[in-house]
Amino acid sequence: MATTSSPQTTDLQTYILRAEDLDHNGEVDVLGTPAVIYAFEIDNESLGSSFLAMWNSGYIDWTAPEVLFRATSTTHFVIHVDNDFTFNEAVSIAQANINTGAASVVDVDVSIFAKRFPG
Amino acid sequence: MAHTQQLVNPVGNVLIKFSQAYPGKGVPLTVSEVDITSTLTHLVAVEIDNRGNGAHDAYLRLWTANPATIATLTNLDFIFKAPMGTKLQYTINPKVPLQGSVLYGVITTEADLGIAVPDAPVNTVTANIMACT
Repeated sequence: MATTSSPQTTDLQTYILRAEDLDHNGEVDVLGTPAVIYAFEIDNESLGSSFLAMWNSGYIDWTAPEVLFRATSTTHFVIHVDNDFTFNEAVSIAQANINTGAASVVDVDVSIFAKRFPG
Repeated sequence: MAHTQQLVNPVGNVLIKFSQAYPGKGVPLTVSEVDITSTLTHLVAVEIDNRGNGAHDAYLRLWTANPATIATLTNLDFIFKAPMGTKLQYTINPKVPLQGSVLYGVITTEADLGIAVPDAPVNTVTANIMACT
């Protein structure tokens, strides 16, 4: 009998990404695949507000964020999205001290739970 | 044009129904005050119905102070995206503190923050916003 060992890839593949100390330059195509996002977490340990921005593209463009969340100082929360939050090109993320992406806030971590698209 | 309606339940949560529709391309968007009587402290959840807007994504922008135009970045604290043809809900746990005590909103088809007039018409898109006092 033949056996296989982990890791194994299935058609139903999920991703858990943790980006520690995310900055305003961001991370492009963080999952390496188009994806449907089910939840994302923002942990702002700093004493200033942090703006998390997300793009459905392979680049960071602070003039046109598609998702923007202000996390006030020392806040930690999770955003659940119930249906079809699809990034059909790529998932790119960044965070900054203001919504124009001028500079980074230290100690901001972001986690993403997503499924590959198309599944 | 924009329309808002709000319900306040006995424990102080405010459910704001916010819909916006525009007759056609090139019509300036108007920012609406989405809560008019309550002092809001936290944002709890947002639901956006973008199933009737054709081949356009929709973006709900929320400010925590009165903006002059939809291109105003000051106090623009949240953008929620609803991809074309979707109805989806964002639930925030725990509820996130608001920087101001009011919410102003607009729904547009543009992700570009510098565009005050949409390139594409927005058919009726509805958002339900849950906040608390």
